[in-house]
Amino acid sequence: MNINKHWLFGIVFLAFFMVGCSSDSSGEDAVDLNWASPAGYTPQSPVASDAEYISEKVSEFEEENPDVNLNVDVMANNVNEAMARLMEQAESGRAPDLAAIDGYILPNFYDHLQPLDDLMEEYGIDPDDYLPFAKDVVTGPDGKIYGLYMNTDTRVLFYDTDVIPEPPSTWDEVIEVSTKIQEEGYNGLMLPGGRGEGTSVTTLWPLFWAQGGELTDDDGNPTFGEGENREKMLNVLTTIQEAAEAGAIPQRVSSYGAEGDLDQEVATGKTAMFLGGNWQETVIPDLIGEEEFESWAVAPLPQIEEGTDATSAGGWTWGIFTEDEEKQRAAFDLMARLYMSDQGMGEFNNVFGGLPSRESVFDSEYYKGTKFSDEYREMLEEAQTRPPSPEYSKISTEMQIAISEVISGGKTPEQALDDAWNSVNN
Amino acid sequence: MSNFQSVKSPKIKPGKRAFVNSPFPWLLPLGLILTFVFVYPIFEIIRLSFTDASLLGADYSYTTESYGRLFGHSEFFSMLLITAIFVSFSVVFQLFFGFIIAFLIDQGQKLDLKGTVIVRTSVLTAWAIPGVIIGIIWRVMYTETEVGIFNSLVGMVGMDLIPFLSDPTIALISVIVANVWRGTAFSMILIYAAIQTLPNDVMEAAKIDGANGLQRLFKVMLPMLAPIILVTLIIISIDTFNTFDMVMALTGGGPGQSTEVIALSIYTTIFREFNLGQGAATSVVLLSINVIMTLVYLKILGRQGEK
Amino acid sequence: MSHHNKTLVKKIGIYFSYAVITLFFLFPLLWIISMSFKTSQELFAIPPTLIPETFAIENYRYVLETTGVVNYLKNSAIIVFFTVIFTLLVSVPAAYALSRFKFKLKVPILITVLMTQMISAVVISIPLYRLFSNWNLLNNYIVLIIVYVSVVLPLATWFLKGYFDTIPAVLDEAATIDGANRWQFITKILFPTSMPGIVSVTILVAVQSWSQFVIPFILLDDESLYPVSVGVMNLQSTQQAVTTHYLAAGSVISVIPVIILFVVFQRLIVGALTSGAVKG
Repeated sequence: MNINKHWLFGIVFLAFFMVGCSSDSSGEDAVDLNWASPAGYTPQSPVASDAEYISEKVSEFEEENPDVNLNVDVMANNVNEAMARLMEQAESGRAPDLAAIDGYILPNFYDHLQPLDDLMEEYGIDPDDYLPFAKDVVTGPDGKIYGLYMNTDTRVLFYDTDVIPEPPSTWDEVIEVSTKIQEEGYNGLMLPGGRGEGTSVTTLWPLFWAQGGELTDDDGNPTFGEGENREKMLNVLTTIQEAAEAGAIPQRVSSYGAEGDLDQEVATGKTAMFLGGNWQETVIPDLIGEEEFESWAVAPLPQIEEGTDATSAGGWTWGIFTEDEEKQRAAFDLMARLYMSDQGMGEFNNVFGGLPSRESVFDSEYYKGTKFSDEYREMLEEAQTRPPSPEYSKISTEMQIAISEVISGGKTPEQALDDAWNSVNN
Repeated sequence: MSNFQSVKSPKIKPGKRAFVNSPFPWLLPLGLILTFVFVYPIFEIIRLSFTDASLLGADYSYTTESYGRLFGHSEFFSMLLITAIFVSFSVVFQLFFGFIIAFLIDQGQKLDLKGTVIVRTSVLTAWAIPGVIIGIIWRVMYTETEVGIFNSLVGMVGMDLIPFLSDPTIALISVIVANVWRGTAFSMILIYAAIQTLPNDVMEAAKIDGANGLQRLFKVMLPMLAPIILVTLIIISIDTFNTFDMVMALTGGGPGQSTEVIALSIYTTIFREFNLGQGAATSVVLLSINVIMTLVYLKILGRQGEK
Repeated sequence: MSHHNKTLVKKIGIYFSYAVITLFFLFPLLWIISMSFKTSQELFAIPPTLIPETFAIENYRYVLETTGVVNYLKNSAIIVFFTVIFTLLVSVPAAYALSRFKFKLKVPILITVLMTQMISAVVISIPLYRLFSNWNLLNNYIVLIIVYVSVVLPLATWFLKGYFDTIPAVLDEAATIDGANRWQFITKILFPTSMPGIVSVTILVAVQSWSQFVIPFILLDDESLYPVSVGVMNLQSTQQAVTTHYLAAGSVISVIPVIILFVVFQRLIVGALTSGAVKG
């Protein structure tokens, strides 16, 4: 059959990597720009509207830059794994020219990335325009900018004002409101409480951060299980356990690890409040109908103590690895067009359902905004990102296990936290 | 390499005949491939298990800490226990249903019934579906609200909804049920094959002796099938120990770690927590389980050979 | 008369059990097929509907157009095809040697081969991942297929060895007297007479490599090279939309080719598996 083709393919592949970057065999001045990203930020996005937007902008770019061959390399679906592989590629000198990097992880790549200050200035993108957390993330220790923060997201309380006129702002109120609405046949508070990153960023970290807790120290060593931080983390687990015991959050949330896992709960019409990601705003009307959605609103995440505030910001950045200036320029141009210019960032986030990471884009003509985007913008001022520690993934995995065990009734908060701490840290 | 080619060459020169009359050239490709894919990795994984290597960094030092951590943790033993429960229940039920289905198909064929083909095919189909898809399918069916098919049925008969995936014990049962669905075909086909080989005259003789159906089944058939059942048992046990694709798609190991079987734990430790040293140590534990089971298998095989 | 009644009761009993078994094994498939035709609203209907109201064929169009499922299927087909070919090329001579030669190391070799069969793919994949990563051999189908081959090779070799053992030695002697050399014996006599065994091995190897998960999951990191068994994971819900129906459609598409093969060739498959298993 086509065995020859595959041997050839294999050999070409090999040769390609050994040389580092290949030159076009036709001998023209064409450059290959290798672009690595999760499927969602490529023309192969599983979401049709995103795919359409990206494909369109990419073809524009290709028309205007006929000498640049774009090779899209789709990353593995599992973010941790994709990032670990990218790091490995970077360390062995075979990183792609341009790669999407989960925002909070970007600091780990400073050493391998190219500073972008000059290109940003040229394209009129002001680093000070970044939201506070985004600027923190993309600024290296030398004060230079290493990343293009393309979109962000945040975690909020979604609730149906028809059922809940006044949203709970503390967990005591959560229990109170849950009990009340359950009498009317609704679920209590739904949230991700199982194994998955959604649980960490939506349920765990905001409660922990609002108390001033720190997951790691400045060197990236885990700190969440000792001293004051332990007390704070224990507060988080105990609060959630008390809510679970009071029936305010159902046990089944311990199998939901992603914000999207709650969609099925919302769809049943029995969910009147849940903790989720801002992008779910566009999903809810699909699930329950536009009319029903009219009465929904968002509020800051309920906290343990009245008057404290914190939420998580996520989102992705782009980093440029290539040392070739021509490629850097091509990469930057592509990114500006797709995701970074006022127009790019605005239009992309309209389609994608993400939030701009630059203040001015919220006000720009290109960004349509959503029903709640002003609220999100306000919450983002107080938002934090996850620590860029190499230990983070472990901390997160172990704490997801802990919370899931607490909710499903397998362990007490103390046990669960101590086990997580031991697993991360001994 | 020249040996290899002489094997492949259809025209053998007289001078090379000595070569071909030795078994080793014939075994060479097998040897090369198995050495390349197994020998190096096994030494490497054992070496890595004595390091504190991370998947992310290149630096590491030698230590026995990984093992200390494993054996010093009650979690490790509960993971082993979960794996043991998962494997043993999966295997017992796969064998049990495999036997029943094989027996019923055989009986049906003897009575010239229609439909044996449909039964056979439907069971075998489950076997050919990749584990991830099986996990996805069952996860959808296990949905814990009335939207899920199982819970909607449960609701119809007026019972409380069942936390298929969020109660530690029930989640493990759910995973086992899905795995039994997946693996029964293999046991069925082996046992079915064995039933076909049973000499008819023995069964007939038992019938004439006045043994009823059940007696014939337990006193005559099962003892004759025992060897193949034992062999099947070991093969599927080892297979079940070694897989995690379905569990990963179904529960991801949760809630907590209540469905985290050893193979999944290795994957999580290395690719989610990047802890190569500890993942390697867990791998060595799995490897030891594999070796012990193989030795048991050989013993059974040896005993069979003596008969 | 009573004998007749007894048979009738037995027949009814067996038919009933057939219905239960078939339902148990087919239901999950029917359910996922049903979901694959639902709109995102109907997915969450209470009570869930078995027969979709709308038959949303567009789910399939969407999945075929926007996801890599077709590509995954193609990749799986390529990997399985070459794995089967290479496995046979290596295991037939080895099984022949283990069946026909008498030599000291035979039993140790057989045991070693069996041992490798029992070793978890997770265990070997991790060092191989690091090795291939250093040698820039990740995402390379050639090495990937070698690993696939090695994983199915022990079973194939044992199975074929068992099958060859059942072919009477008289045939060897007859062939030798006729002046045939070993190779001629293999091609002219052994191969034709062991065709059922070879077909069985082909099927076993094909099914095993078709559903192989760990090896491609760890040794490939380019999504466009994924086989079906790994690729479907990428269909699992993306954040911004409800995708359960697409996931269902993708699962159905990736399962259908195998189901068709199983249904069409089921007689051959069962025949080959059982005759192979009996002799092996």
